[in-house]
Amino acid sequence: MDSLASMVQAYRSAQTLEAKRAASEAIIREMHPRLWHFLRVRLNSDHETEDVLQDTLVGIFKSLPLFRGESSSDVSGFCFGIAKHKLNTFLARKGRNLEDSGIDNNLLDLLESLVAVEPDDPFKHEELRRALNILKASRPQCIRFFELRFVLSLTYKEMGEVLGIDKEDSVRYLVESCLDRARRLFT
Amino acid sequence: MLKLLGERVQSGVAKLHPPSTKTLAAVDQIVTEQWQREQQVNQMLSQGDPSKGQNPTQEQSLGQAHEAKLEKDLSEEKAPGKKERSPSQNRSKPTGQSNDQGHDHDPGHDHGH
Repeated sequence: MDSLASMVQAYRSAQTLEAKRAASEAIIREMHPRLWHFLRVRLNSDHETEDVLQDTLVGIFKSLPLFRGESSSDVSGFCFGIAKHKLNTFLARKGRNLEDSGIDNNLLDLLESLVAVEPDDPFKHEELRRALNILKASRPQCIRFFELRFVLSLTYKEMGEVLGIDKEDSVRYLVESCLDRARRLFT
Repeated sequence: MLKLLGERVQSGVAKLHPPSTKTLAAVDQIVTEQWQREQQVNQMLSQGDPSKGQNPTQEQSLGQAHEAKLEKDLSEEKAPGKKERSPSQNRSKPTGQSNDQGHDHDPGHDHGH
């Protein structure tokens, strides 16, 4: 699969409207599942998620001509940054904050339901169950770190942007601490 | 193990919650508008300059003409009986050079950082 960076490059350099549309669809295909998950965990319903996600995608494509990042990580950070902004705007308008959404329970319920989407071979199934058990046994803060790092595949830098932590190394340290704790619990 | 979970989540979301038609239509509208603006800008550039793109010579001559006009204005203003303007007022006059090359500076845009 093409990297996110090359999709954005294809979008910028498209010579025809059809090519631009095709590039935009590729970007959406790549980002939509991750953004959907990010927002759904932090909102109360699929309906709210759909509304904020639409705003997010429109915001991304409106801002793309001004975006100067080069790497896939830049693009991903840019998209999650917009999603976070749209989420905060939505929650503020509703007079809510992230904690009201029951983020940790939402996350675990959602993961349970998604893991059950299609049958696995027994080994994979066991691995997924173990991963879920690790999350369930982790502290709320660690659950969120694991979600951003492993479920949404964010880099430490991107995680820092989402969590409002300036230093990449601080985020790395926090994630490593959570992983250590999880290893100790499960060995 | 956690990465496997991440992969499963993404494939599960893609399967269960594909982008809605409404969302795709909204994005398509933005993409089409951007394309149209790009075409307009390209058209303007190719009409204004046969060699396409920026023409340093033309910009330079515009700049020189502008400077000459400023000097002329300044000398007229300094003439007796006329009130002197501050340098900032002189600087605030149109320069004839524009750095807006048709970019869409959408007021509602997000930088995401």
